[in-house]
Order: sequence, then structure tokens, then C-alpha cells
Amino acid sequence: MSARRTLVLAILLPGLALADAVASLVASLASDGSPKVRAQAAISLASYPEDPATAPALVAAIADASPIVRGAVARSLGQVKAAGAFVALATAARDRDAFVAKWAGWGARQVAAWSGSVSIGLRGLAARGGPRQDELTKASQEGVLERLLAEARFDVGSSVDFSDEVAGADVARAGGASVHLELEGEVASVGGDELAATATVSMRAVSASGFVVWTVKGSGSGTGKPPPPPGPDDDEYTIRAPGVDARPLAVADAGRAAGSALLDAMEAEKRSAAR
Amino acid sequence: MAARGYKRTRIWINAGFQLKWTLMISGVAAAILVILGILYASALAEQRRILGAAQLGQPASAVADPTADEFDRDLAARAEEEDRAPVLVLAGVAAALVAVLAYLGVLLTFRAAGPVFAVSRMLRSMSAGDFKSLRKLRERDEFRFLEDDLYALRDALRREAEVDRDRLARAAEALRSAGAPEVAADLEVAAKAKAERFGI
Repeated sequence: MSARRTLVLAILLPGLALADAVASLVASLASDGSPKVRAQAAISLASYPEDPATAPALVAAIADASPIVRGAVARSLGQVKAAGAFVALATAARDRDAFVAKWAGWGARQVAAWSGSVSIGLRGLAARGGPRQDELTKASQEGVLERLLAEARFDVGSSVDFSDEVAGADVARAGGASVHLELEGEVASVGGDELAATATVSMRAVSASGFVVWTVKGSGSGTGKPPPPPGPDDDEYTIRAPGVDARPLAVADAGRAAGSALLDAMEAEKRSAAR
Repeated sequence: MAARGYKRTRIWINAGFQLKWTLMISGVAAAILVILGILYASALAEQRRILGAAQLGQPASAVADPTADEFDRDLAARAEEEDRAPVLVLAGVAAALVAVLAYLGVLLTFRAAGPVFAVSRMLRSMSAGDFKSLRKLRERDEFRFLEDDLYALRDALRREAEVDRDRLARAAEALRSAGAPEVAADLEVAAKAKAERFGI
């Protein structure tokens, strides 16, 4: 055997062995009769995150009949961080089995935290009751979107239809993002008056299947301006500048804080799995 | 005269014998099942330990995952929960098997002790001169050859008794002809009694 051929084989063989290992694990995961073997295959597949067969095999196995397999698959999908697995993980996070639900939730958070493209929608982030409900609702949504859309990986989903009103928002609709989060919540409190106000917004990032991926809270404050006093030359035809109400400003600030809290939660999730 | 059948109503015919063998059968079965159960449970526990060591064979990056230990614990606990059902089913099957074996032990020893008891009683009756109280053993009894042997013994004794009766009758006839009717009458009574005893 020539030296050249030996070298070629030496380079190729580990790759072939790897492909064999992954194929064997995928086959075991799909069809072995023992749940423990399937679970072990799922766990071992996490060692091959780059292999193109890994993520589809794991996603297919998340519907396995055995809870220990589903849990192991969920954990491996979280380790592999396959963006395409978010929907499957978020669905599995509502599994009746606590073990599966826990690790599918962990996996879904991992995938969402590491995803380079996250589309967001607003299912409902509203101020409940009060005389200025619509204004405060809009302020909280604007605050959240302003903060999130400042990050390149966030896009607005099709449920958001007022991106033109958001300062600095990237108006491109989310297309093909594997991770979609609906933001819902409420303006929890608004205090103060027109000149000085504080507000709190609580927000949940929810998957399409209804799994609450993160729950965050943000507090903010705002300072308003009273309308200018009438001048000596004013008469009934004079148009005077209106004052600025502190309350929508405080709510928008709280929305921004909630957005920041969501980003912090995602960063914390990333750190939690990487020592 | 045909021997009549009978129904045994007592389960414990020879309690010592029956209990000894019943306990031996079910005890040995229980011991074997317990050993097999321990081996099975150990195998399951070993599987769980292997499965729980999720980081084994994984690259360093995966081993460094701080959630690995928590996942291993959760997985082992869930797998243990999963293993509980087959272990309980097997324990139930083992208990049922021991119960069935105990029942079979009682039944078989009953069918073995019953005929021995019956034959013993029949021998006592025969030794007391009663050849008519012979009973048939039950269809499902063991050791039914004892019954055949016993009947063969009875028939042989009957044939001998017939020969004796005929001899006594002839002797009585001869004595009567010889002028000793009282002695002849005694012999006739003896012959008749013998015939009655043996049912001939």
C-alpha cells in the first residue's frame, strides 16, 4: 500500500467511523425495543451536534412512547441547540410527564437563547382597565419592541402590525425564523401623576403551543411636562403646546425594562449550560 | 361383592406429611423466585446506573455542562419509576405462582396420602375379619395399584375361603353320615360364618 493511500485512509476512516456511529445511534433511537437503549442513543447523539442526521432523528423521537426516551431526547435537543427543534420542544414542555416537561422546557429555553433568529409577536401585552387603557397598552408594547428590536436577532412576527410606529424598529417581517415567541402580559401597576410616574410591566414569552418560556418583569419611571402657562398675548385662537404625561412614558420605560429582562434571561440561560 | 366408592371430605388427611411437602414445594419455588427477582432488580439497577451516567463517552464540552448531574439524577429517578411497574407485575406473578404451587402441593399430597390412608383402613378392616367394607379409591388418586393389589389379596383369600367352606361342608356331610350330627351342625355353622365374612 502506498504511503499516499495510507494517508487518505487515515484521514477518511475516522469520518467513516463517525458516520457509522451516528447511523447506528439513529437506528437504535428509532427502532430499538428497549426504552433504555433508545434513551442512551438519544443521550449519545448529543455528542454529534454537527452531524446533519442528529437533529432530525432527535426531533422525530420526541414523540416516543417512553417518557425516559422523550426526556433524554429533549435534553439532547437542548444540548445540540437545533433551532428547528424549538416547536417540538415547546410542545413537549407541556407533556404530562414531569420529567419530560422539565427537560423539554430546558431544551426549549436553550434553543431559544442560542437561536440567531427569533421572531416575536404580541398576543397581548395590555393595560387592563383605567381611563387611558389604549394609550398605556400601546406604550408598553412600544417599549418592549423598541428594546428587543434593537437586537439584530429579533424580528417581528406577523401578529405585530404597527412596526412603523416603533422608533428604530426593523420593519422586516420575520421569515423562516425557527423560534417564535408570543409576548403576553400586562401593565401591572402605574403610579404617580402626569408629572412623575412609575410603572411595572410583567411579561411572558410564550411558545405557539402555550408553553411559557420565560416570565420577566420590568419597572420604569417617567417625568412629564405640564402645558406651558398662557402668555400675555394669548387669546382664544392661540394654539398652545400640550403637556407631556409622565404615565405613558413610565409604562414605555417599564416595557423597555421588561425587554431587557427578557434578554438577560436568555443570556442567563446560555450561561447556565456553559460552565 | 363390588367395593363401593366414597368421597373424602377431609383435606388434611396426614397433616404432617402434607404440610412438609407443600411447604417444601412452595418454599423452594419462593426461594428460586426471590433469587431471580433480586437478579432482575439488580440488572435493572445496573441499567439505570449506566443510563444515569449520561456524560460517559461524551466530549469534554458535554461533561462540563453544569446541568449534567441534575439530568442524570432526574433520569435515574424516572427510570426507576418506570422499572417499578414490571417489578411489581413480576412480584405479583411470583406470589401467584407460589400460591398455585402451595395449592398443588396440598392437592397432590392429598391424592397421595388419601389412598395410603384408605388402604391402611381397609387392611385394618380385613385384619378385623371384615372383607366386605372394601372401598374403591377415587379416580384421581395416586397409587391406585395398591387398590388392585389389595383386591387381588382379597380375592385370593376368598378363593381360599371357598375351598375351606367346601371342605367344611364335605366334612359336615361325612360326620352327619357317620352319626355325629351335632359336630356336623357346628361345622356347617362355621362354614356359613366363613362364607358370610368373605361375602361368598
